[in-house]
Amino acid sequence: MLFFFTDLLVLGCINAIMVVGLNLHYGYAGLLNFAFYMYVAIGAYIAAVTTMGSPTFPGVTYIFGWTLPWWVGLILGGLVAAAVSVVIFAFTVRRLRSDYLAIVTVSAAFIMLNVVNSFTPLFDGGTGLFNVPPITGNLSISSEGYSLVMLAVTAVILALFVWVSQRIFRSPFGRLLRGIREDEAVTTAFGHASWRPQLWIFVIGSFMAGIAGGLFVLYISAWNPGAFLPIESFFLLSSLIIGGSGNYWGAMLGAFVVIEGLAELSRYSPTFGNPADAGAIRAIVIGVALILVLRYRPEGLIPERWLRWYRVGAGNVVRRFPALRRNVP
Amino acid sequence: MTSEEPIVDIRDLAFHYGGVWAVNGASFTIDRGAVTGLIGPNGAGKSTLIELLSGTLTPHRGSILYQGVDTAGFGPPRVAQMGIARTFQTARVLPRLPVIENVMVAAGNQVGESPLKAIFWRSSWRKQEAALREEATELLDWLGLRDHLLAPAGTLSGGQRRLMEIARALMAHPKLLLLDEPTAGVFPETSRLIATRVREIAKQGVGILLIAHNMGFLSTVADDVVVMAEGRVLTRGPLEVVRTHQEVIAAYLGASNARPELGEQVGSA
Repeated sequence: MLFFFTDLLVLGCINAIMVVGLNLHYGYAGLLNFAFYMYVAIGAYIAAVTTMGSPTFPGVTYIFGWTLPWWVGLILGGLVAAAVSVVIFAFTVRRLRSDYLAIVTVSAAFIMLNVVNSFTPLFDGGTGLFNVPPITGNLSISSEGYSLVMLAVTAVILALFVWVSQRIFRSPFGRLLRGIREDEAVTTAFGHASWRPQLWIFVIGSFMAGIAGGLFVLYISAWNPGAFLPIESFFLLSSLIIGGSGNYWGAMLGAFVVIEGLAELSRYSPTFGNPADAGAIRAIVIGVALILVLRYRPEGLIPERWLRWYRVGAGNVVRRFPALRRNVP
Repeated sequence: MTSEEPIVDIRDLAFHYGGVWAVNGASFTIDRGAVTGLIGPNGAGKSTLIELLSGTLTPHRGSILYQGVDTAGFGPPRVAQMGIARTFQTARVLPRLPVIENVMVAAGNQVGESPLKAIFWRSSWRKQEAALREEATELLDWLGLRDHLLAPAGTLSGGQRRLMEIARALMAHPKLLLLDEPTAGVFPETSRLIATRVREIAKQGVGILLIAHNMGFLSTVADDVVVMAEGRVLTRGPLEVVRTHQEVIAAYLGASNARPELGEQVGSA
């Protein structure tokens, strides 16, 4: 029973890291990225192949096999995901807007999926990777104990990324991103080229995705292309919109409520017909929840505007002309 | 450069959308510390001229000498950094952002817009941020939006949006301010407030180009009026003189006999 809850919480934290990262892309900057799970997959693969040893099983082939410490592999996964995002950005975000961007990102995810699936020397193709070493190394530990260890690690990383999100939100950088999201013509007319801040937030969000993927593979110790079907990106986006796009608390709520709550609920829904339809039921439940939220609470359960943190002083009411005073010698 | 020199010298400017020449050989100057009105019938090229000045459009012919530099092809961010601020024909706000953020986003050289400083080095921009917030508060107060500082800008009325746009433009500390119909669809009292404020801004030495259709409003703010028709400058002078000009009357009444050679009257008062 304990394992059931810790397991749920670990997966919840990992999903929350993903949605918090996606929130930087879509919530903060308005970049509609349907290929988000691709960066999760890249992080997972890189973390796996850099921490595992060389392939030993017959027929299993993958690159690297460096047996690096888990945290080095994890960070490498994040960095590679971020590096790939720079390339993707150069080809897509800089040139395309909203709906076109969405189409191209979906295509990119499918291409990536097919390459990994059919090119076995890279990550062992469709069979995928297994026996990824646990972060506890050779220490003999029960699966309950391991999930507790992973819970601590994922919770700390989630907290760190939420802190980063908060710093960005409250900074002029975050304000500029929101401005670009709302109306690019305005920020451009006031001296800001859009691509630089967009590239930064794209890279930071993709790094978080890579870290989440690495944590995932270190926790469940296996990974294959079936785990990053593009539909996963839709689930992440749905949970962000339901939770409250633009608000990191909303992102976390969405991750726990939608992905955890609804997915787990649908797992325990009374079985009828083919039990293999559970995945379809999950999609239906999330779809219905998304429609209901968009209809009745389009800003999400925790709207962005709840994040106002500052007060404007009640004093210093000024009647004189205040502008340009810094220009006066 | 003496302050007597105009802030902008527009020479033989031309721009076409496809086959239609929206601006076709317009030349005039905008003075520092003065309000230059820009009038003309619909399709005269007034808004296109603002788009050209703000860098959104690149002229097909002619030059825009801003403080002696031809800004053609610079693009809006660079033009803005050089000290040209604008409002939009239909007020553009960042609807989900509070009014104060709408204004603060326009300030130049914000240290905290650097991502790494934003995340890891808050002390490098905290003081500047506080100063900007105070300045934005004062500006919005000065423009009568004191009670709306934290309201999402999307909830403002049409007139309030116009006022907010002026505050936003001033936040950029412009040397040249382009106002595209700041009183369109605005309640008369707000319109009077805008007129007063525009005069006060000009008194600070800012050059202002202002498109307007309301002659009453123009007569209270504009030092000088440039009349455009069919992409050219018909005439220029004080409003009461310009109003009696035969060609201006003809252009406004729709008689299409505004002859091309009238474009030569650039700068004549």
